Amino acid sequence: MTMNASPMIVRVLRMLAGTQEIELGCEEVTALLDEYCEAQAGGEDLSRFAPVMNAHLRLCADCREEYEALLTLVTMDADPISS
Amino acid sequence: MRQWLARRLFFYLRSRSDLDKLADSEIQDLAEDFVQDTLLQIRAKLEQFEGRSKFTTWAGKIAVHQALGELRRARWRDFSLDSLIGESDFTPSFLVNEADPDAPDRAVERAETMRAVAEVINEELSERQRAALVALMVEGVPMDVVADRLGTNRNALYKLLHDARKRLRSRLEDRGYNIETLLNDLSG
Repeated sequence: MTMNASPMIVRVLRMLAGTQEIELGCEEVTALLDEYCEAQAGGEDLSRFAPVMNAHLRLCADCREEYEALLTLVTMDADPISS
Repeated sequence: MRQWLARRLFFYLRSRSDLDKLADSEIQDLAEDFVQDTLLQIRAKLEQFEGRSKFTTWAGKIAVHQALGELRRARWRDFSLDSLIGESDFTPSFLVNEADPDAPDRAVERAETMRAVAEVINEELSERQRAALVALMVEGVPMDVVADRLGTNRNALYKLLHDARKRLRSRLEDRGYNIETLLNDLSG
């Protein structure tokens, strides 16, 4: 008899363990994302965003992917900036 | 700014493993298309820019949202949530079988715990919500795509899942379970 815990159940429990009473929604996270990535790229203190930002990015794969992409864009050493 | 976006988006897209079959020229075209769509959106959203970041960073955020949204929807075009309905009973398959009389106490206890958790999930979430959860957690389907299939948007889906998580948590606590203890017992 296999007695490994069901991975699905463990994943659900992990999600429940990370659940906060109040969490930011995707729209709120998106609204902050440019400011957040810029602060991070500039090595600023991120405590004004944490932990609500972190909690959402841990749980929402789409927002996390957009955060990683934007951070890549703003920290990228591409051609001279022309805006 | 167009150049700033196009160049960076090109390098970003080229680094994505799901696009590694595309030639540079194709990625270039893709990036140009995304930038074109982004510029239209920027024009429409201009009054929302509050100067809390550089303009290029704000524009980059819109570009990334646009580009990744389109890539997700294209990649998962054929995904059907209905195909998961009926397959989202959370009761682990080995629990459905008759209990093994020779299993050690600890194993029996674990099986009981998992059965209880699965029961709460099955009771508290609708079949469609469970299918959405399986799609997100097991199949790796993006939130955008699951939201489309549920006729909603990502923000509303996140809120629905947040409410569901809070409800599951409190139902388990009502039954005398502590989430952290459960996690320790099951993953230990």
